[in-house]
Amino acid sequence: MNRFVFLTVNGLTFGMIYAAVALALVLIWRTTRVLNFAQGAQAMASTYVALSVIQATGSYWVGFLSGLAAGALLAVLIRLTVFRSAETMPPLNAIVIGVGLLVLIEAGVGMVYGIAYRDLPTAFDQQLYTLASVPLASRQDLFILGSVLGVMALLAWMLTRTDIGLRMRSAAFRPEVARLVGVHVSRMLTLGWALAGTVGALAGLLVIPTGLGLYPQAMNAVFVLGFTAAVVGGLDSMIGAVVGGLATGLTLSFVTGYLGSELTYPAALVLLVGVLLVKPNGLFAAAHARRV
Amino acid sequence: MTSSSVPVHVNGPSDPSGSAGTPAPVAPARRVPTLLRHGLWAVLALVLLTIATGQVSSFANYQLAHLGAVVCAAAGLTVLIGLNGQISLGHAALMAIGGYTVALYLGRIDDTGTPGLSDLVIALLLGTVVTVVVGAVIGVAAARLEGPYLAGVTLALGVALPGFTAYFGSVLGGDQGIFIPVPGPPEALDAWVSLQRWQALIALVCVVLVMLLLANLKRSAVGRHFAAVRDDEVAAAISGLDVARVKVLAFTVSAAAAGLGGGVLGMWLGSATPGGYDLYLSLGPARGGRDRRSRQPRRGGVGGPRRRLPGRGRGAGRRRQRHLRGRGRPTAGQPRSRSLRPAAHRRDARRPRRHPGAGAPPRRTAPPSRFGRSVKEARMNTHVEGSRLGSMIRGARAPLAVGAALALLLSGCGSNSEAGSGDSASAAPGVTADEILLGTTQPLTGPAAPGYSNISKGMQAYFDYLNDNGGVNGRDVKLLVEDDAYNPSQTATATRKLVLEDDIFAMVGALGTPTHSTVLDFLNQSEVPDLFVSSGSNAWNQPDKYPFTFGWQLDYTTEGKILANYVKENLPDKKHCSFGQADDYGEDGVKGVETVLGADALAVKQTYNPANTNVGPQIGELQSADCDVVFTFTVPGFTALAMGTAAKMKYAPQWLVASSGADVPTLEGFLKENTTPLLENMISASYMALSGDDEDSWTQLFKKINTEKNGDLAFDGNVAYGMGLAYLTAQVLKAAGDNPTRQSLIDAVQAGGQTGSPRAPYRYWATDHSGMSGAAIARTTDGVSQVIGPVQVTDVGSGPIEEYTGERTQAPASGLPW
Repeated sequence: MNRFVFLTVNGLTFGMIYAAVALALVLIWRTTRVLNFAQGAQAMASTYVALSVIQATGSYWVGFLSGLAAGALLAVLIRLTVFRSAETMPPLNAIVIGVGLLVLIEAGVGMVYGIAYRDLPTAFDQQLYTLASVPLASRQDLFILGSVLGVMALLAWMLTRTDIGLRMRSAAFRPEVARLVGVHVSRMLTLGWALAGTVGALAGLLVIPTGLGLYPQAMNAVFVLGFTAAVVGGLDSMIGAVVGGLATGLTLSFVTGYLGSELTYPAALVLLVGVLLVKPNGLFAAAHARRV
Repeated sequence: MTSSSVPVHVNGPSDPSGSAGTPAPVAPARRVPTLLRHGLWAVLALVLLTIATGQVSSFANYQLAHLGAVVCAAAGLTVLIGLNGQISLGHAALMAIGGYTVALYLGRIDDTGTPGLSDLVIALLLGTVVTVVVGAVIGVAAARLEGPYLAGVTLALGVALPGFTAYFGSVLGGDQGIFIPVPGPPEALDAWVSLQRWQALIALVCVVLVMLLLANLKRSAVGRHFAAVRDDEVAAAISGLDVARVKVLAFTVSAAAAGLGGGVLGMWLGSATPGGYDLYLSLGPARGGRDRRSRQPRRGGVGGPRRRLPGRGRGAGRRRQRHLRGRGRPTAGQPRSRSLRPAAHRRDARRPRRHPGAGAPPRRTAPPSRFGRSVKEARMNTHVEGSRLGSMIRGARAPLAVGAALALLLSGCGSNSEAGSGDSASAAPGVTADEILLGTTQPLTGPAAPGYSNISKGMQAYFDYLNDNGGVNGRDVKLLVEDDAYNPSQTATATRKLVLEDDIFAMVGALGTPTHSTVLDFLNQSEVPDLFVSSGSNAWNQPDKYPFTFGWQLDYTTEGKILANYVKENLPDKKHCSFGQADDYGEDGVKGVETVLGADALAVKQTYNPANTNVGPQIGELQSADCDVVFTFTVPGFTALAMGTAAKMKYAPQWLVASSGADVPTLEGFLKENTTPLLENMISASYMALSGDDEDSWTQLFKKINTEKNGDLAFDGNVAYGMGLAYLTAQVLKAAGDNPTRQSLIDAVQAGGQTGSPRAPYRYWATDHSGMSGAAIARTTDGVSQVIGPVQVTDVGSGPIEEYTGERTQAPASGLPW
């Protein structure tokens, strides 16, 4: 039982991180029908910026915020340069461009910062609180849960309750009509990318301290799991991204804990295939399965 | 209707007189049956390729074989994506199925005899068939999914592959994979056909075969069904096609090509390993296959974002091979005229970019009367994107392959004179009057690079130091370092480049078990000394099978035995557990522990997958099982993760860490200010001078050289490792004599008696190529590791663990081994 509780908390924490990556993918997919394979690399680069600022200023929070800002900026830059034309291409082209960009960013960061592991501090203490001698969660874990949930709530509020959110949604779903009523569609899409870049950077800032440290390939595995989460949830749904992220995190934690580490990624595959066989467009997609 | 400037064979039998909207300008009488036409091309291609492979170097042939494997898979992928509009990012996994089948089959034959050509053919066929079966199953699932969802599943499939191979490790060989005994050329041909050329020929025959079959398929009703489904599923269904069945069939066809390609790749690589079929391989063909189209100018209309995508209907010509570079300008509104002129420019690879203009009948991709235009018009679903890919897949496959291959030959191999033949009267390859050329493969980029990239810097620095002091017998030692990113297929290429192109004298210190395993056979068949492999696998010590390969560092099993011996003597009544990497490192180590403590001695055995840094579940398991003693076979990053995670859980077992993961300066890079408290009391095995032990003469020497040659590079165990290895290399080069040959080098190593930084003597003689023989136990206190016991030596089997009483060699003041 103790073990079950521990694995659940562990799975939820990592699930939140996968959810953040998934959310970044979903934000871009919803608006531009681009699957951004460079998402992980962008997050990695943003985290390097955060690290540099932390080292320069000595303040974690200044670095944290500049990491998020760098994420947004990088995303805008990428959207305006390479991906703008990719939006009008078939999805696979965007994927290939994304992979190319991934390699490019990794190489670029490697040239600037070197390939050594770097240590990114955490916001809070990582010492686990125990409940009845079961190690449960650390303050950092709570921060991970809280910040991702907070960002999601903020995004939901922004998209559904504010004027700019309305414009973004209109630009995404009915671009022609939006344009006719005076929405600057392209600008809205760029804003969507900026949001996605920020959420991705948040994922990077949260996940890096749990792993080996920061190095150019640090986000690759996280990205793959985040992508799995996004597909499980249904690429069109933000709620789906969160649910998919948590499902992925929990599945992997239980499988690693009870069955063994070799099966971690096969488990992700089984989860994905299992969900998609029942719901071909993910858990939360407006269901219109192709009749086959 | 412009007419073509090139004489053409017009047109397949399946075109009912060009009813697709444009009258055929050519009389039906001149048609040549498709199969015959394609067959002629195939024969021509085979002849040309056979000639071509005779004209180029071994290395170019080797690259051709690689190319052939990738082209097979790419052709299949093109059918899937281009012709049928489905996306797959997991073709590498399908290729792996082909490769593993070939490996298992040939391995089985190898057990009883020597596999020949017929066995290889059967193996490749079998690989194809098995992949077809799996592909059909995946295809059934894929038929339900749309683009990005399918992309997700196939991506996950590719990523899950190493997990499956690790889980079924006893059959599939885990991370290290399984060796493929590749049959060489038959005896009759042996005199003129090198192994590389033979492999290139086999690969190219496969390519031509795949191209021929796919080209015909494309021209057939089935091919048009594929295109119809791609262009518009609804319209296709209305026209009476079973959409699902067509999609499954396309996936299956594509899987067949991938399976064959995977088999050929396995043959090329000499083994089937998960790393050989990694994700980049899936993307590679895709990159080659599809990016061309990205230059499609599309603007216009309300221009909106991609929702409108379905509206644009312009095909863009394109070809598949990435090797054909620089082709044509995509002009948006090319005259649609050439629509009935399919085979036209086939032989001119740069040319055939045809753009059926918007609304033009998708030449030869859709059956003229049934789907002709309507397909182009009613587009409602995003799958159309595939269409544009597909409409460009011309039937010109085989000729293009020839073009591709020739282009590669011309570009890659022009400068190349037959390698290895230049050593006229002089000594050995790679040895000149003033230089000895050595090569090594190391991870300089990629996830294994942090840390391990310092090893080659250590080697390089020592050789620089050596050369400053006169070199070896008056010759400078030059080391060529090739980056393999810890990816076996890159190792395979890099090693062959070193041997066949750069003409090195010997390999030295090549790093990694899964990586170097793939080139063991190649190096031994080429009789290239393969010295001091940087890994503790037992695979390097097989003098009968691999007389040219020598290990260096203490093997993991022996290390496990020595660690277990400490526990047996000092902590016998505790609960013993293990945490190891899920590959040969962890397994061999645990085996050593169990040899000493007994088969059931480990209460909990946890492993980790280096790709997943969440080790919480495993450490949690160790904690909840109340393990007091944990044998840890980890790389430094995961030692740090394990200890850090445990500390967070307030779990403090006695850690016993294998030397590869116990270097304090390296761990400090991960643990930072927590280093001292976390490492307190860690027990480790130490087979050479500890990098933090400033009292040790070897550490002093290596630190001095590091400061001198590497500037501000922090000194750690990896640097020391590289230098120790280079020191031994210098020693054996010297012993190989004034005019060293490869044989004299091997003899010099096997003569034994080498000394150096290790604590226990080297084991090098004709029947033992293992290298170091023992280690001492060290304990870390206050952030410094110190040896606390005698040096112990033992073997990898059940032999006893004995104290080594001989005196340890001190580092010479000159820093030179003579």
